[in-house]
Amino acid sequence: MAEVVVSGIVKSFGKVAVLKEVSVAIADGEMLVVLGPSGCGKSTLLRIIAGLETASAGDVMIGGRRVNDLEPAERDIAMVFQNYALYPHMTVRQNMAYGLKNLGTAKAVIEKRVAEAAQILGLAELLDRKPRQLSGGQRQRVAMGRAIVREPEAFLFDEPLSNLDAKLRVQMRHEIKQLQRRLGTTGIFVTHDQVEAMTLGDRLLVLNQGVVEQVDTPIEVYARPASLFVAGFIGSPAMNVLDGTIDGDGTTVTCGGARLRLEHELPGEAGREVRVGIRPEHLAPIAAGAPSPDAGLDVEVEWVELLGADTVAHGRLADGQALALRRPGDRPVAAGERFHLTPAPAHLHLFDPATGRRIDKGRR
Amino acid sequence: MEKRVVFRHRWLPYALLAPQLAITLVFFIWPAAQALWQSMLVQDAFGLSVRFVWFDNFTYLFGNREYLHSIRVTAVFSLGVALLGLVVALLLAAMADHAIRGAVVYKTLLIWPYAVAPAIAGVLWLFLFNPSVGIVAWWLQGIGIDWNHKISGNQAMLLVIIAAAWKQVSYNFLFFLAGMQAIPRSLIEAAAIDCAGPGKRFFTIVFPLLSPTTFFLIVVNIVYAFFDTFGIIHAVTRGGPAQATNIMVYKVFSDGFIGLNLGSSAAQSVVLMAIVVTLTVVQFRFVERRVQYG
Ligand SMILES: Nc1ncnc2c1ncn2[C@@H]1O[C@H](COP(=O)(O)OP(=O)(O)OP(=O)(O)O)[C@@H](O)[C@H]1O
Ligand SMILES: [Mg+2]
Repeated sequence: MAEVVVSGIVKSFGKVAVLKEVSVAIADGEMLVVLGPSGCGKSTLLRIIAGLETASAGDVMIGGRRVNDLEPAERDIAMVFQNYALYPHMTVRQNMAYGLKNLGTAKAVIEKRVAEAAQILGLAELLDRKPRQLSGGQRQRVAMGRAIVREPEAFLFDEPLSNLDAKLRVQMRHEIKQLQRRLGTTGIFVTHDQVEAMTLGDRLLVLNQGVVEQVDTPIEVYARPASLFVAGFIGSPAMNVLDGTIDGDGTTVTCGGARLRLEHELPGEAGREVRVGIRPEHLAPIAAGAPSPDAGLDVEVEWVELLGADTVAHGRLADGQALALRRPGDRPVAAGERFHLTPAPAHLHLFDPATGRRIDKGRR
Repeated sequence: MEKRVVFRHRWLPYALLAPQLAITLVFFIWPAAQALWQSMLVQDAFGLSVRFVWFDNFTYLFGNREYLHSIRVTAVFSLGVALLGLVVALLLAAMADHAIRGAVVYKTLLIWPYAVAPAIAGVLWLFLFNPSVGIVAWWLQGIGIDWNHKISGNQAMLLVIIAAAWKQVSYNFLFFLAGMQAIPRSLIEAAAIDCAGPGKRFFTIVFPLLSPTTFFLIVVNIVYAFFDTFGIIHAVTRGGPAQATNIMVYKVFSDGFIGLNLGSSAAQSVVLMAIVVTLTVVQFRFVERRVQYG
């Protein structure tokens, strides 16, 4: 159990820079989820922390100890791999004991810890089996068991659930979370699945092409995405992004043929071009006869996705920009239907078109 | 999916097999049958009379001190060749597996000896170890070892083992390297996290995972040492000094073509035939049951 600090990590493979100055501090006992699209450098970051890859620049500190020059085995971490990487020639018991044995741990201690881990993970019956005699879920548990018997300073997970079926994935997600909480071990969990990220992480680190876009709690990342990239990556269906211009007095923004009220005034920003983000679930129809019908977005529905609990309607604004909105599943929506919509000011996200960064009150 | 080819004509499969069957019959079955027949005959020294003696040749063989000696020599030689060839190849493969860059160059360089004919390999090593002009013999002299394989039986044995193993190293190397590269990278990485020492890692993870390859190679190398090393022995020691390197396959030749004891020579080749059949059966049974990992 320890704090893990990554500072200024740069990694290039030849000329290709895969990680560009990645810095993050993971508190003792915290679970950080690293989220990003395929190829953004998530695994590379994790492998640098594990010591399986050497950074081109930057430091990795585990428990206050600089580990840059230490072998993976000397870093006191445990890793769970996507394909589990169980030793095929060893039984489940031997797989779990291998790390401890190499550390010279006393036999009695090893036996006790393996028995404990097997009990926690429901592997007691399987201890004498070989990995090939196990199901995917069981292998996953053995991989977890191998990590926890070590009682390491930190757990590193590289998409450990992606080879499981949907149902098992939900269950293992829950188990991993519980286990990590219970043991209080610092964890770093790499995934490209946003549901996994939202549910597992104490905090999320969103990585895009080797650059940290945002590090925050899942709710905060959802509620206040720091950039257009994060806005588009978190949430399903993705956030609508429209072109807009700040109006004269800085209290409203004109986009898609509507004037939308801002949560915070932006005085002196009149005429500034912005990108306006609105989540599909935050678009509420304005009842006919409401005070200012001219303030809303007029959308004509083109096609509809029925998801059961919700219905997602995809349509176009008068100026041709696409817009999706989410409606409760019990209110039927048909193609050709027209909606007059407005978001609550608090649910409007403004981004700088050039940098893609969020525009906040008092911050540019 | 049906992987077998289904023939519509009844005679077509036989016709397609015929060339291979003919070759097998003419070059393998027929000589083997002849050897079997001859192994039960005794011929006088001038080749004028022939007698059928049932298994007398075999009884004589296994009571013969020289033949038993040759079996021992063969055992030492083949184990020596297999061990040396495998250990060196494993070492080279482990190093090549580490070096990602330049691995192709290593592979190419290391495969060359396999293309060298046994007799040439023998001559090459003979030259290096030549007591009067060989460079290795000269180095050995420098560290106080008096090298003369023409006198010392042990040194002669060592020399033929080295020459024979050298040729086989490349073959073993390729198999070991392929075996190592077939081990998933994440396994090696998991081991790197679980175990600090590279040596220990090798012996607890990599080597056990290579065991199917190793077993296969042991059989192949023993077969090689038994049967394909005639050229090396013939070029380097001719079975000498004092029978010290007279392995079974060479003794077949020397007894038959030099000693002109055709009956005994044929019996010896039948014994060798039995050995190669046994090894092949062992190999095939093993390959069928090949351990499935994953
Ligand atoms: N050994 C390597 N040599 C060269 N390039 C590499 C190497 N390893 C990774 N890369 C490159 O670095 C980039 C990031 O790879 P990485 O494996 O970290 O992605 P990832 O975010 O884990 O993706 P995924 O979600 O698909 O696992 C990729 O573009 C990849 O091609
Ligand atoms: Mg990855």
